Amino acid sequence: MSQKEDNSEKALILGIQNGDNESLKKVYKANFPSIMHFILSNNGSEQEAKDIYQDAMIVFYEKLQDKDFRLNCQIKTFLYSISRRLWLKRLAEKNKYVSQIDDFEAFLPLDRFEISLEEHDHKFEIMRQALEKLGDPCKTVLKDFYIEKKSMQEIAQEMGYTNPENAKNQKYKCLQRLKKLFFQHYKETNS
Amino acid sequence: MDSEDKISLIEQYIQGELSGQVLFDFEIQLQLNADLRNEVEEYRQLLTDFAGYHQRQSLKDSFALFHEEMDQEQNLTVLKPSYNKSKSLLIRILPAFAVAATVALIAAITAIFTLGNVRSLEEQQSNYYLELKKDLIEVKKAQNSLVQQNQKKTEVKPVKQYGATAFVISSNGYLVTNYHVVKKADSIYIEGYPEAPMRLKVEVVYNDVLKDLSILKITDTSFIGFAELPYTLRQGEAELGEQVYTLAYPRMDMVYGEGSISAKSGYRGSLMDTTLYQISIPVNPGNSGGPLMDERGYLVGIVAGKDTSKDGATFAVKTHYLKTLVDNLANTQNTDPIILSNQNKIQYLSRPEQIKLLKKFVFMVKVYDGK
Repeated sequence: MSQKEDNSEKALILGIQNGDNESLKKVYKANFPSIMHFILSNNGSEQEAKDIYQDAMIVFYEKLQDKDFRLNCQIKTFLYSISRRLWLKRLAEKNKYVSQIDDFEAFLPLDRFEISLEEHDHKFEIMRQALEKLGDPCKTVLKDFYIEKKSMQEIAQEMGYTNPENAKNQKYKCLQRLKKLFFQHYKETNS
Repeated sequence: MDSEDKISLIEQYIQGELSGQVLFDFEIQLQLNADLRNEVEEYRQLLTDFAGYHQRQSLKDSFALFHEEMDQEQNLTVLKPSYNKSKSLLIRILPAFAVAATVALIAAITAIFTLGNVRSLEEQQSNYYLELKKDLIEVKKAQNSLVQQNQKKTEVKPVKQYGATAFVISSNGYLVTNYHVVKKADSIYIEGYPEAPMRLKVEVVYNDVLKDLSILKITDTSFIGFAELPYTLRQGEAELGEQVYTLAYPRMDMVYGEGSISAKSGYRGSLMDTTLYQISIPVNPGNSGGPLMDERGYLVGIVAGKDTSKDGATFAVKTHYLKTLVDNLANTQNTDPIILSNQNKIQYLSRPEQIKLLKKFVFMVKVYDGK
């Protein structure tokens, strides 16, 4: 890797860590073709390539949010390695064993990374179900407050509560219900 | 402490918003009260997963957008969606169309024209070529008499029309074709592939007579720009035996041809020939100006002509000379710069997929010579 490439990779990583959408887009667009080629050459479809690639991008993004994480290879290699592992796993699940995998890029044995993806997948699926059961307006109130970081004043106005105090009370009740639903599911699936 | 206050305290503790005496008191309570500890852990997990879930959702939304954008970039959006515009364009060129429809000998004329001019570039060459030229002149005479017969029948004033191929080298509207194609032009148009019919006026901005290359620029006001080019010029020469292919308009539809590099020079080793490759792709008149691509989708040449006395001896100008031409142009003119793409986005694709992307950038050139 030349010095110039090295610097531009660093700039991209820094951009993604700081929430810059353009950097993320650049990485996304630049690396898809080689992953698609890999999956198409190994018994997969374009849609499967897209799914696998997006999962790999999620691992990449979530890893970058981790302050202790240091990427010690090229972005391309990281994404290829993760996608490769995810695809082999998917093939095994489909009972489609491939005697030989055709590779087109260098890759590293990054086996512990996709585990975090699955762990999260499990938790987030439970969250999704819990939120679905929770329904509106609770879903929106919680999202507005915790994710969009809106004030109680704004939430009261948007949701049509008479005053901020009322909205705060709603938020509290919603959180209680979500907690109950979430851990109920959590225990069910883990028992 | 009622439970709403307790939860707000837990929340503040998790977010790290407690300080001083309140924090101290809360930590003591945590040590004493196992239930509270448990509850704090539950809330911590709930809020982390809640945030993580939403982060991932918005990430997925972004990816879907990126992907859509990527798919769209691969589709051409050249013309403004203005119906009137294209209509007036049609009216403007209608007489030419009418003539084109009545004179049924276009293909034959094209054959002589393109090959004839490849010849004239090589006039000082061996006997072999002189002989060939003679043959061509004879054929031309025969064709001319046919044209005259046809004229008598239809009583139409002849406007000569020649067809060939050109392809995009810069998204801001530059194309390349052969010099012999546009040499005698009154007006030149490019036409798109059948799925997205369009017709744009172009002008010659630069000729290289010796290398037989011309650069065209789209002058039509309805033109905005091409999508980003998916292919790039290959650095270095192609090797003997490499698989290559070309796309062109020898007729009203795009035709694919494949073969390999049979020699790194044209015209059997005579002096001027190292600017050309000899390739084993069977071509027809109209193939002139077509891009020659290698297996990974790099541009290696521009199809220019063929040797009619032999089978499968087609010639293509090496891309190196196109690069030189573009560099020269950048130094002499200060109009819209030609920006050659430096990214090959099709190298991992299968051949049909490559062609699907490529063909949006390959056009039929129609040259009208009304003099």
